Amino acid sequence: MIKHTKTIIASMLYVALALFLQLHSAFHLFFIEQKQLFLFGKDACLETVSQVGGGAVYMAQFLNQFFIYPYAGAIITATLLILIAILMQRILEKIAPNHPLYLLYYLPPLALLMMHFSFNYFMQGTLAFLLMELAILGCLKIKSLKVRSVVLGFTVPLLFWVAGPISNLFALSFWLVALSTKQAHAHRYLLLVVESVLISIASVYFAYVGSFSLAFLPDYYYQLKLVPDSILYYAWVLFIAVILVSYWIAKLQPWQGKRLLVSISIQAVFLIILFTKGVSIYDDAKSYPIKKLDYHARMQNWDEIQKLSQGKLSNLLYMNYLNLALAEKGLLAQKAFTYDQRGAFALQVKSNKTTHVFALLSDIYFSMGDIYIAQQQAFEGNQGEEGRGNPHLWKRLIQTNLIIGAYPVAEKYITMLEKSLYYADWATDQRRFLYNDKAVEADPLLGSKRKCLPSINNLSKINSHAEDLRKIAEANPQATQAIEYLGCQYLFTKDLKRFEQLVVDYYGTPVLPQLPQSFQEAWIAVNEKDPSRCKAFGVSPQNMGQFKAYRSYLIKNKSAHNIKNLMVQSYGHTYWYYLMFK
Amino acid sequence: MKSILYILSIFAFTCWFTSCSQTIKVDNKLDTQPSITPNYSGVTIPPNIAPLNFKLNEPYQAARAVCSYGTTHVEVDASDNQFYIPKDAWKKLLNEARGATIQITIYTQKNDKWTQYADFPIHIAAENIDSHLAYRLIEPGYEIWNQMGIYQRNLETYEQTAIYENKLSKGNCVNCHSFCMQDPDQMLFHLREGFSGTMIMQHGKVEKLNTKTKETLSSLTYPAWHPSGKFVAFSVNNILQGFHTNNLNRVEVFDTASDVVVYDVERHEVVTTPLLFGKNAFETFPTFSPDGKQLYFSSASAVAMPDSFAQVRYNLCSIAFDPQTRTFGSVVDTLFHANKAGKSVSFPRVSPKGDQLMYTLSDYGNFSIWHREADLWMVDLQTGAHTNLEILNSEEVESYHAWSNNGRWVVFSSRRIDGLYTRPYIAYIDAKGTAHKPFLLPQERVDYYDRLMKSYNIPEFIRGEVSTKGRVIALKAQEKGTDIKFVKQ
Repeated sequence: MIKHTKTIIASMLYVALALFLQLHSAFHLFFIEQKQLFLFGKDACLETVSQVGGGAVYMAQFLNQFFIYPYAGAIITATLLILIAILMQRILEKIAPNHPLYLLYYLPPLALLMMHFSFNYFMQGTLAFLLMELAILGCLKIKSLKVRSVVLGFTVPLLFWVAGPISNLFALSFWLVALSTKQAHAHRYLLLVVESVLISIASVYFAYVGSFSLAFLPDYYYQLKLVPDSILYYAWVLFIAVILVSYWIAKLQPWQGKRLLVSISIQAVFLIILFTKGVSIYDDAKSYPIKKLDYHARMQNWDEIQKLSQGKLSNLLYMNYLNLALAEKGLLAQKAFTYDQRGAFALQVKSNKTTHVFALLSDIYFSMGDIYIAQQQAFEGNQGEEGRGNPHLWKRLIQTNLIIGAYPVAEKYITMLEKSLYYADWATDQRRFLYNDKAVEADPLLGSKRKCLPSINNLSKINSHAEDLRKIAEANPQATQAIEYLGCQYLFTKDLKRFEQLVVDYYGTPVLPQLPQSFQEAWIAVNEKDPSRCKAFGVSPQNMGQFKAYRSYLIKNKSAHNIKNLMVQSYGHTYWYYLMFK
Repeated sequence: MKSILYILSIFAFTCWFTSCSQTIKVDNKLDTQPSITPNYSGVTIPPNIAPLNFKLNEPYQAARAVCSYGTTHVEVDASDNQFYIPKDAWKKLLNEARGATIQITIYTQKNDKWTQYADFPIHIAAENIDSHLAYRLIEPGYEIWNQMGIYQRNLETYEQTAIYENKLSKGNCVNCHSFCMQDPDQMLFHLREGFSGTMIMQHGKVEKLNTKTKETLSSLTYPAWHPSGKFVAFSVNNILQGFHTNNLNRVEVFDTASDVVVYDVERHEVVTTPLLFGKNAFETFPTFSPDGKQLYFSSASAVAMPDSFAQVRYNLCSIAFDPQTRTFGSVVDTLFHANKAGKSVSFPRVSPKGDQLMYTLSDYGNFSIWHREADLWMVDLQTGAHTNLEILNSEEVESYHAWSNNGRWVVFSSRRIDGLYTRPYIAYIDAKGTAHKPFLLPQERVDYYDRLMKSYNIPEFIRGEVSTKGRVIALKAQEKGTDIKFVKQ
């Protein structure tokens, strides 16, 4: 009965966890996929597994590549965590066979789940945990003391090499399990701990591992340059703790009947409380909308981004994505002010030197047609990722190198990306552009971006980025993004003087044959006292009329204490409102 | 057990029988050389270099390479799409052919017919090369980095080991390694961004220096040891980067100000002269002559940067230095007015005999690593004659270079393979100072460079292995370090 109950509970929790992850964290999992690139092939494999912990890294990268497919991330993560719980159960059953300790089985995987909400945590930490449990169970199965001792002696260094510092947890916990299950000569297994400590020390001494914290602790499974949250250590501490607790519980009378039911219910309640509390603390809910936008931007789901950007926007990054989507659809100058916008950084945030922001800025520069800066941002972003970089940025590097005619570099990156699963076909398709200027020029995307390269080279932003955007716009008037970004930059910063100069310089030329909606509105504001100038620059009578109405409404309500709210209802979508009230 | 031995002996016999012992019946003989990667045809190599494994750039069913000198032949059948030349046989062949030329004959089988190509030669110099090459491996990036390290490669094998990797110091930046006269026991490099300082190793002793003084523009930057090991010349630079809007050079690295100083290793002091420390000129890339009495450097008239980034041009200059008194000459000699020729000199490096100086010549600026037009030149210090080392140069960047201890070899970095990732090339410089066709540092796997996403930075020959352990350096790096003093002369 208990056995079935355990299976049923594990199955239910598996389904529940997979559903939870899918419904709650789907875009986080898509985001995680970008953090590690898996490449097939002997060389990539050897390169990875030859490092300390490389086996777990290799497995993690292998699994991670499937996260790009919907549901796969949730299913894989849930599978790993439930497997860890099941193996935990098997270990604890050896210590306390007559007590169903559901809470204890699920505590370490619960702590690991919390780590999975952090994009600075590497999945290899979870895989290492799984390998450690398998190693414990495998070694416990060996009956012969001699054989077991030999196998254990080899398992510690092997586990250290394959999975990293988890070997320390393995050694300590195997010793405790051996003591708890009263194995013959159990105290001798303390030697495993000594062996493990010596191996970790040696790994630091011989510089295989950078520091003692990396050689002994789960810090190895976290971004090197960051200080991990204490939750990183919980799974390890809990693993030891549950072994000790189960040893204590084993001495109690077996639970039966009502007592069993009460025990299971209490454990379930505790588990739910811990899960809920844990999610509320460790789930990075704040960054979730960004991950959603990041995914849609990578997939070029521009309409989706527009949909997500309705209403009040509380983050400049949201605005960046929105404006990128509008720019890509050629609607930036047309519709920018129909959304919530705030200042120049709404178009382009300042770099915080994280891969994510580099990727976003690369996309924005690419949209503008500033190809070299898009490439530079992509390159920098790629540097920020552990392992083999970020697939989206590799794609951008391939595109930008094709555009500038750096074909051997593009070929190098294409060859690499062809060894991936999801990106291989795209990469192979890019081969048709290699050493083929005509093919590049004929391609709607690459050709258009190549046309954006300014005829005269300079150092970017040597004077201001405005100058660069002007040159791009002049080089390729058909690509409207540069001039729209530039015009909007002036409008967002309310720099109407420069905006006026921009319009004077380009209106009626191929760069700006007509004024888009927000430019017309701004132009009316600039030339409020000179309607003839509005007409001369193609401002529509409807816009002129609407401005009149806006003025009248404003004058009528000028003394109203809630004038901002009044105006937003009718004119919140206009540049006039932005100019006056934001 | 017996059965295992039996199977193994059958396997060994089969391998031996099916190896290069089979003779080839040539159906077709071509008078053209095969296309190979790397292109080792006609290169001059040292007798103690690791085998030059290569691959054919065309499809085949089977292929064989025969390396011959006199009656000695090394036959290699292609496997895994390349030729793996056996190390011992190669070593023996090169020893026999020291100072002579070996011929490589290639046979390929296509449609069951064998074709023989015209032989290509590889010249074996009489002089050995230093046993190791040190370099930094880093992505050709700009401001952000991840894993990087300084490594040493045994040139007689393919073995590469780390001297120092940044994983030992929280992933910080590690740069500008330099050796005193190719001595692996006298080395320095900088750590930046976390545990910052200059790590200086001499005969097993490791020291950490805090090299920013209030008088100098920056921490000590580009180093060059005095041959005595008692001084190191450094530039101090305010370095900035700018990105091109349409130029395959991609990035421009430039100084807005720079000076040259000399650091006294024993006294922890820096000294200089107003001639190297003025606001009117940008001085950088110092290097000592092998007798230690002359300090060479690049110098440009100070201009407004970055506006004049394309107008700043560095001349090749020198000034006398007296190591006994730590004093400088009263005059700066300009050996080459590169600016008058519309060119710019960087990385001057004097040969160990002191008779020649190799430098990089580009159109402007000093950071020629990012200048596709950058080429290597040599000046004869006796005659003052400048030579374009055309045989070393390509359409892409040739830049950083270093001499071997015996002055017969130079290593330089080039981006000729793909235009971005620098790779080390080694060239023979004969007694007359003539450069011979260079060869790419051989790797066991020919496709190694295709897969490697890092550049070789600052290749430097060393006469042996650096024995100071990375961990020892890392522990020292965590200490506070010794502050250096600026001393007015």
